[in-house]
Amino acid sequence: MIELPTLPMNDGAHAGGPILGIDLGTTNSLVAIHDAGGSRVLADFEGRASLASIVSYPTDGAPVVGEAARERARLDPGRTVHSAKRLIGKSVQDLGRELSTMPYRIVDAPGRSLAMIDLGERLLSPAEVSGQILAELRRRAAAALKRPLEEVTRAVVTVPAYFDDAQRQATREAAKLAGLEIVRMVNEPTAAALAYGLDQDGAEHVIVYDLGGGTFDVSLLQLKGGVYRVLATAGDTYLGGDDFDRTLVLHAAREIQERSGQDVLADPAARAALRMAAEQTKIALSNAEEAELSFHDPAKGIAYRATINWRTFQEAVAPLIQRTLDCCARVLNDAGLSVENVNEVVLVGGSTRVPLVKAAAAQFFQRPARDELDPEQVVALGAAVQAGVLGGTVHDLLLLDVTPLSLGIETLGGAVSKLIQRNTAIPAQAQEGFTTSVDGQTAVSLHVLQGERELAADCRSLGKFVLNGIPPMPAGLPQIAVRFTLDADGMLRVRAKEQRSSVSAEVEIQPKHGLTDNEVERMLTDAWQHAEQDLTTRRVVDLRAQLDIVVAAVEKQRTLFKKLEVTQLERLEDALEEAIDAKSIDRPDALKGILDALEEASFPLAELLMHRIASETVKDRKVSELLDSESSA
Amino acid sequence: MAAANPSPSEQAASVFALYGLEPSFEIDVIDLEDRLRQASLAWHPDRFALQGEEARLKAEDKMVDFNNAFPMLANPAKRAELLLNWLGASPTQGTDAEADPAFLMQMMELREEAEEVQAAASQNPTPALEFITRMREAESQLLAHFAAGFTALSAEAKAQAGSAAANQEDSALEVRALRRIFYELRYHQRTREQLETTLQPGFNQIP
Repeated sequence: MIELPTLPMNDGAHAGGPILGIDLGTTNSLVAIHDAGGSRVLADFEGRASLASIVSYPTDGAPVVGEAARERARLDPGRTVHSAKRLIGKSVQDLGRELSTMPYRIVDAPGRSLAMIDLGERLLSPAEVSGQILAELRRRAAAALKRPLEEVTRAVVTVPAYFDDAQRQATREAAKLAGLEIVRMVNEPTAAALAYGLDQDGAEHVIVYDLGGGTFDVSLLQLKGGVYRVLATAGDTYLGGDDFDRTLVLHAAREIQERSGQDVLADPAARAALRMAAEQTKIALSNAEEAELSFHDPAKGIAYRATINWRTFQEAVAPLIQRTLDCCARVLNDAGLSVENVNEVVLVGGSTRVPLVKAAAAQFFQRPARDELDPEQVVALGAAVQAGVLGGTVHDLLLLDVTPLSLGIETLGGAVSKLIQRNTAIPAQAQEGFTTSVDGQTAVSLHVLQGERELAADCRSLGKFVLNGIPPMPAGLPQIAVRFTLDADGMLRVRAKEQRSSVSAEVEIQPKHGLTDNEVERMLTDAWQHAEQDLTTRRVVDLRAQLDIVVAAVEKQRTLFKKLEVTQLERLEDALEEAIDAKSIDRPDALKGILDALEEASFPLAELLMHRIASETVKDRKVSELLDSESSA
Repeated sequence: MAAANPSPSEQAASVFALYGLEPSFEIDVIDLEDRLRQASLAWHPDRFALQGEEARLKAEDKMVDFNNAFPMLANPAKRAELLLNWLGASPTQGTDAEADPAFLMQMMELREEAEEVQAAASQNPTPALEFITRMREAESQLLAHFAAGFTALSAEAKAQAGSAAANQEDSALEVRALRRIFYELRYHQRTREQLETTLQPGFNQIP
């Protein structure tokens, strides 16, 4: 018999106000609610269901969100941010070729590896942009539900199944900035399956094919007895309808270059305008054999007009569609099923409106694909269903999800030891033992990674942390248990513990790729009260004090400098010099960057120091003594 | 997991017990899935979303146990490993099977062949695909052997009205044979999986 809980479950009592269902999309976002009448999307006062995921930052005045921001895109492309979801939780390096297609400037934040948007007078994080969108949806929901804003504080927010930990973390922070607590993050394709309520139809294996503006996800679910169990998921975070537009943009830009010798892609405003024209052409090609793509720029003397026929478009996007089908093959393979086992195919995401996409999916799965629910609303509706499950208004329905990416620890030689494999059901937990490689080692550095590749360098780094305080022992003796816990949202907690010694050393981390609490605090203040000078001043004072402490600590160990490798020494000297020169800097971001750099550069020095202390401790004790203390521990 | 240092055998037994099952190779996966659904409806943290941190964390722990145990029971190769643990013949301990020269020779030949078909795969993938099919067939055969061996062993133990552990002397040889089958199975599986990943590089290269 399976043990059953004695605790009460969710009972429908709405203690903390409504729980919203939010689809935070790359191009459009929506908010929905589940109540007595089922799931419905909440429209704005003009009756529009979807909110364009665009935020514009005028030099004077408050940020503008949605359609109004889209209008400003042409006028002020450098200060109008679209597709922030493509940037969230990523570094400039992660973004790669995508950088060139964004009309706004993207830079690395000093001292941290997260991409920021450069507005000139300040850096804007993608989480702040998403926060503005979520805040707008929250206001809209409060108005539609006739509730005061303070009562609307909780939401289920959807994310692409393929979002990694850093991206999920950043999404959570965005919600915080909007005054929303995410009670649950749901993967978009799973949300779509919930909206369809397919278990009523007796379908057992369902494929959700989700091609949005910027991402592609495919999930395979098993439906039975009200339980939606995800068997496998796969996807591509760099593939979406925007890429279809891009093929047209590049095609037009090439022709314009040939005819007029001008590079329209070099000018952000022209690039934004051409992108919009290309999107229109793509949409027109959904119902027509051919469509026009035109672009005019009188200032440059460009008048471009071309007829794109359906076949040209097909050839251009065929490789993109093939990539989606490769992912479909992968989920089937991972779940150990074949095409014949699939009873139902559901299409989600605006880009599945492209007839070529619909046809390709139907052909691959050998059955007509379902799209009767508006593909742009279905994810938000599903999020609302999940909100109903959590709030207790939806009974006898449960979602069991998996983690899309494997999680592991870097081991000697840059390999990855995987603790949790992709497509493991969540919540999940795994533990593995590690040990030291040097006698007397009192600290180990643990590098947490996410991804499928074998080498650490090819995986996504979620953060490094150091386990300190291990009593000195011969190499290989310490038993360090590293435990990964993935919660139902797919968020990771890592814990490391040295088990041999009586001194237990333990760390619990949140991967530090995201924002620090201080940064979130700063942004909250920024967002609601504009520049809060006091806070900045306080941070500057704090940071300068911290810098002084680290500089003094490093200077104290000057005698050890000669033991460092040349490159290590150079880095340390550079970082020190910069730290000493930082007295005149009053930007917290810059100071934080210098502090981080110095702390990192001084790490080899700290290691040297620890080794010395450790070996001195060991020298004074006999090996047998050491072993005795081990076994009695 | 409150028990202080349970043995691998006790741990294995508790995996079966969690799902309300006796240790056995014969598991009906459809029934197992039903049990997982039942457990999830009772213990998934979503059922306790509004019950506060403590209740949610307790539910999470419980759900983690069910989730971790499921593949060990559902996957036949993992189930075989679990049963060896239960018999006190943990395949990670002891090396008698690896030391068997005939076994080693056979496995080395297998690896050499895998390397050959892999090297040739870019010109002609057919031998590699045939090799994979052959491995899969061998794997299911080995599993069938294991199942038969395990069933015979537990029938014998029952007939003698004692637990498997009580008849350790009698069954030691059979247990060793089972473990040998398991090593062979694992070797086939690994060789095949390695070949599969090199043949389908896309499978292993998610950004």
